Amino acid sequence: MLSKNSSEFLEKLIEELRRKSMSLPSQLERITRVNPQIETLARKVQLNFKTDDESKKIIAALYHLMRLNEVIDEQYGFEDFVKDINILFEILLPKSSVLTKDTVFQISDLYLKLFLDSAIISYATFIRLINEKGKELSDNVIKALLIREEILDTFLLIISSFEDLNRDLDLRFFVAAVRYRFLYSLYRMKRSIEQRKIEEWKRGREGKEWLRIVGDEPPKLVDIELRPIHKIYEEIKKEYPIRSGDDVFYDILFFEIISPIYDIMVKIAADAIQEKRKEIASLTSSGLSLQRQIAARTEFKADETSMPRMNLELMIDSAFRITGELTERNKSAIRHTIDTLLRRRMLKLYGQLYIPDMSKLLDVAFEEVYHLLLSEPYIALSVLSPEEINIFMENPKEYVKSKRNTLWELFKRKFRAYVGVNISYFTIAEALVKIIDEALQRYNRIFKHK
Amino acid sequence: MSVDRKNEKAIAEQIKQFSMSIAAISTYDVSGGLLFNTPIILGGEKLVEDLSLLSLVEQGFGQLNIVDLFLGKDYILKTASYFAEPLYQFEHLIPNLYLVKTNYRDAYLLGLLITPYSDINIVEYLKESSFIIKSYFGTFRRSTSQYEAGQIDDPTRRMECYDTARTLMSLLHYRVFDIRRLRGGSEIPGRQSYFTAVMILDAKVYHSDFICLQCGSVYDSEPENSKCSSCGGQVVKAPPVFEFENISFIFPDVLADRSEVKMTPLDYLTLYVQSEIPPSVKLAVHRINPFIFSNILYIPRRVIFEYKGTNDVIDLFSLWNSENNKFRLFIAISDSRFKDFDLMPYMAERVFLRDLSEGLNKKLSIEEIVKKSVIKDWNIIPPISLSELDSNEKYHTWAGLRDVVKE
Repeated sequence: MLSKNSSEFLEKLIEELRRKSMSLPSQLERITRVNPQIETLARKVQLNFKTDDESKKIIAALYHLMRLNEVIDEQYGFEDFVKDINILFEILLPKSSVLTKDTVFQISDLYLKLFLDSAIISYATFIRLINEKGKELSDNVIKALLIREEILDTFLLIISSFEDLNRDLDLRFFVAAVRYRFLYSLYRMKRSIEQRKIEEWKRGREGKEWLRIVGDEPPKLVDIELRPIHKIYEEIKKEYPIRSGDDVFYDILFFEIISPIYDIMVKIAADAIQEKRKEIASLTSSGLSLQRQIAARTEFKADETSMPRMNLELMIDSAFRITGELTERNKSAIRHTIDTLLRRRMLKLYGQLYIPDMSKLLDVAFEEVYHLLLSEPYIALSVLSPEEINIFMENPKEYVKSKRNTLWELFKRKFRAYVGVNISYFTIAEALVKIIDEALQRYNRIFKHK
Repeated sequence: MSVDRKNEKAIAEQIKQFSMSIAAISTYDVSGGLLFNTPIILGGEKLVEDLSLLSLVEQGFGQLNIVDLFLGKDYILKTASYFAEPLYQFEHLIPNLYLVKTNYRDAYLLGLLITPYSDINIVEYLKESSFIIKSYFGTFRRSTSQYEAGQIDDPTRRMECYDTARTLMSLLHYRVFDIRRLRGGSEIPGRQSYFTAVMILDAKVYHSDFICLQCGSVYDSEPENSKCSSCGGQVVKAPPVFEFENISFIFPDVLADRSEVKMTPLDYLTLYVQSEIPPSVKLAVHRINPFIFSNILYIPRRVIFEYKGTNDVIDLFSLWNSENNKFRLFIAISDSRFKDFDLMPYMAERVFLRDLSEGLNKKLSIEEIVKKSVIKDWNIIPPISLSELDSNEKYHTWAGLRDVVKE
């Protein structure tokens, strides 16, 4: 589930998060207006700075907004939130400063953005982990890769956005906030995967009451403890002695973000990683299995594809042997027939016209080409090199029979060149028409000159 | 899918096995009061034939004085690519060399990529190497602080620094050779530079020295039993070197007219000589596979120097052709300090180089090529011998050189 729809899911998520981050002041003001409990919450705000009631309301409204939109988890206490905010202000502002509404807005905006950015990179990191974990890489190198290619740039942006307020930041607080948001993202993913597993488990248990007696427990992935940011910050402060400097970015991300969550990610992604491993393993062996398939294929069998195939052979035969050319009408007929043929074959093979890996269509297309080659070997002229043509001309039929693997490769290359990345029934049919036409031109040059 | 993909994979795999990433990191350890080198060597399964030499390679990189490598008068080499010109017909892939030197405070890194790929982006390579040395320094700073607070012991501290460097080097190796990062793309260093001059060098290949793999002593003929007389180490054929004969320049009038030009013709020659792989690095590389490396001439393809303490750069890009062991090297020079000299930007240099390579293919003379190019109004100096350039004072300034043409 994760690997296939993941990028789509990610895009949606990013879009949703972007939308949520729009024009914060107006959102916060609206929240204050429509929710009377904000006033009550605001009265509980205790800050280590001189400030006014308006600023307190903004902080209360920010908490409300973040909870409502699941930027932080539903258990996140208001007192904890205020503690976090206090630390943040202490890091960013001189001790004796008076908090104004504008400053609070500005910092709230940056703070919210930190969570949204972290959420985005947490999902991207998770998906990247699935892709890389299937390969033979050490965990440390994967961790470094995740930092270098998924986390570092965003983290730099987050830090530099706060650096406008204070050049000398305590990085560890921001690391704590990012770590929290990573854990919360993982928590949500774990919850949904676990739920799915539990449902499967329940279905499997139906009518098997005895399972309860043998102590069959519902499946569980991993425990994730969501602790408030200020607590994570205190913990990091004890472990990590350096508070600032851009030289420690990698080091602190490695030890305080990736290392603590890596095993959790691996456990949550276990199924997807397994799937990915199989995919990679099958990629390396599919070359062999395809060759075996081709070798094992026996004679032409009549099925619903035989009629279009015969039509096609007729058309090509008349072009090569009789008319010596392909008219636009012939071309369009060939295109149409190939299109129909491929569609029927795909439906038969996969039960649907559009499968995720459309490159399989190329394999099907080649099988069709090979059928055509058996009846009209001269189509191969379009892919053979001049030297090969000499060998080919000695006995075209025999050549086609004995060299199917070579031809398979040559046609594949030709297809790639003509079709490009846009593999569809139309592009392949179009490419085949071009290939046949080219072969015909060469055929004419060889035979008509004699 | 697969046969094609498999072949492609097989080629990539082969390239990978002929590729190596090497880094030597040097830090000044305040608590220990000494400078120590950490060599890291990755990959190269097919390149290294004799595994016992690998420890010598490691030793070679461990002994380098990285801080002083490539130090010129007031500039320093940052990154360079060297293309291989084999003097022997190899059956396998020939590796090119890419080199960087970078530092973060007093931590220095000398990086080397040895790979048949010819499209490594040296500016990106420099950037990644700078990231590695910076991160290494971060771990060094953190672990030293923990060590001083008594939280960890000294071996742990060193191990953690080494782990950071090794992990990041493995990552770089993986990114270059498995997921094809740092290849191709724009290679423009931070600052805009200006097309300043073209230097043409005639050189012949000198390839008859022998060198001791152990201590690096050079012999002009093979000693008895191929043993070094001073240390007893194995003596092998030394890598080929250039012997320069003649030099000439193509340059704009503005170089001769403006008195604030600090770079003399001789300076450019020095710069080029300086861009060659230093002997100590060459020796360390030679140990990887004496047979391969003694038969390859490495010619600087692109070299970027930085003026000390500034962001200014000198950028050398060279083309060459050869006939019977005689080489003619064309080195285009661009320099970011010549901002107000009304010179063409760096891109014009690329345009000229394209014209030059086309012209050389068509066997046109230099004059013909220049006349049709973006630098048609520049002065073309006829070749002069190196000793003359050195001894004759009138060749020491651009104005003096220009007078030669006018006479």
